[in-house]
Amino acid sequence: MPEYLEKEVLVLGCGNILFGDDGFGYAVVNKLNELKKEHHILESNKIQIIDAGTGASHFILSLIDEKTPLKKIIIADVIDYGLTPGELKKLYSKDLPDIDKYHIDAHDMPLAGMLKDIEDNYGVKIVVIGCQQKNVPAPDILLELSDEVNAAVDGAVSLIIDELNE
Amino acid sequence: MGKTVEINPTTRHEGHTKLVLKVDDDGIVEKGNYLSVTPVRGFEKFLVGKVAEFAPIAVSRFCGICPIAHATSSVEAIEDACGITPPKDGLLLRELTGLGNKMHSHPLHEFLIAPDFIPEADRVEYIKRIQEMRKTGQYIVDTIGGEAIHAPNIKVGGMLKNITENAASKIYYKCREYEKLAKEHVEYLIPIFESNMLADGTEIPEKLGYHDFGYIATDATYGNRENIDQSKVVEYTPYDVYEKDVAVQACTTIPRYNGRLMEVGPRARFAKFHDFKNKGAMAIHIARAYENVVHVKRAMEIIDELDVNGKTRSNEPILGDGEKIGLGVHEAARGHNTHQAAIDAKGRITYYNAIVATTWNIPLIGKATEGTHYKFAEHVVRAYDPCVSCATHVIAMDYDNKIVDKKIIQ
Repeated sequence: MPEYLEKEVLVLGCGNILFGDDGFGYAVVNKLNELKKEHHILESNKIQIIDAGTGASHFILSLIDEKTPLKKIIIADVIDYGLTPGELKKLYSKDLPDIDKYHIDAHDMPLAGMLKDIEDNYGVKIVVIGCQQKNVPAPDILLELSDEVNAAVDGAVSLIIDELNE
Repeated sequence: MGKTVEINPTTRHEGHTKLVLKVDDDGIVEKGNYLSVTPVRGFEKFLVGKVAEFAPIAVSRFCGICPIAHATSSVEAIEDACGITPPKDGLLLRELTGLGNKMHSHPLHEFLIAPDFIPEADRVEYIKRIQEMRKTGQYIVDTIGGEAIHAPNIKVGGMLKNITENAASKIYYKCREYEKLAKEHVEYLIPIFESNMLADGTEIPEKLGYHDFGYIATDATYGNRENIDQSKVVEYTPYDVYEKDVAVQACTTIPRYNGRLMEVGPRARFAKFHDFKNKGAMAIHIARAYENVVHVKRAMEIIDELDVNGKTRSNEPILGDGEKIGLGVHEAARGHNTHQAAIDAKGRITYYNAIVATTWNIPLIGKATEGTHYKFAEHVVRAYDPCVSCATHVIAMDYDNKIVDKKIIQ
């Protein structure tokens, strides 16, 4: 089993750094890695922080089963809930949308459904730290976060550290 | 009189594509077109002007399936452009990371085709075996690459660090288990593919997916730029190749080697390095199943060869002359994957181009559907295991130079 599945808590920064605010998860992961000396909880052997990009569904989530000792998965990602850009929202499994399962391709596995299944089937608690996006220009490339989303990175990091200390 | 059949979207592979097939009155495909309709990304353009080290980080994000394959092709291209030779142990570890990626990716594809070929009664056991294999592949990527997805240890000049003796022996042990599963997998799958029968009892036409084009593979498991003459590779636009109404929908280039379409991937590697002569869609599945064994055997060989105290990264500066176009070749799960880069004297990228595995296979997949009933066309597509997002990098424009990408994105 990959070592990240032997941990108790996974922190996944999801999204694509090439599409503007979609790079939020990556920025959060970078910040968490920078803060390891300040917050020892981030260095704990029980925790794994991963830049999951767009591959979380099949490189990580689809490998979880009854043998996986994971207790919690914390996901940092952008959301589009019509809030003020940069506003953070903590979501639990019950808050995630119920979407029909479909099998169009290996890349677009529906994350919400997978996350709910993981919590229901294997008792892994799911927490999403969502940040209201301002600008996700896909398919056009933009390498910067908007100012609003960039300003939310520190707040998201604190929420994650609180969640880890819980 | 014949008609046009569109299968849109095609399913159970990566990316968004469709088949546009001209069929005769009996439903036999006379002209097959397989088109990527995945939105354009434009990597080649935005990498220009960035520092060389950014390229492997960016191209890992071509799509979510092959980050390792693209990072590897990218660092190889930059090394070639800058005249850098990575140390032997660095290259061994890089090859092993790539093998981990393939040892995960092939079984993932075999999971996606399960509804086509695997009888319902066998599926649970079949998928359990696949899951065990994928975990080992991912273990290798995670341990050597340094992270599960965007492996930070793959660096220009080699690998960031070596692995411990303990990690090496763990990988070896897991590979032994994988080898056992891969052999079980071969024993189970080959009779199914050779029977030319779908799980629902439908007989597959014997010549499904036959074509007379060539094969490109430069190495059995890694990639070797010495084994290809890149000057013979020419990329054509969809307008050069397809009819106008079809070309306007396509967003990949059509590469040819010496003017000829070429297949890449498991069967191409088997044809070049294992004297494999079988043709057709089922032969690709067969080669892929055997490749799981080839990959794990090579992984164990690497662990034997590796010096865990050896140097893994060259200290040579990442600087070029801005002119020399370096070539990086990697045998990705889906085949011959090339990146090309030129780096200037300040270490910035002046030119970048990627011709990825599925770019080669896309025009061939369309051709390979010809001659059989259109209801089997999706099985031709799936045999090639296309991974389309990374293959997509031209913008379709009409004859008035109007960009038609909106039509593609809808």
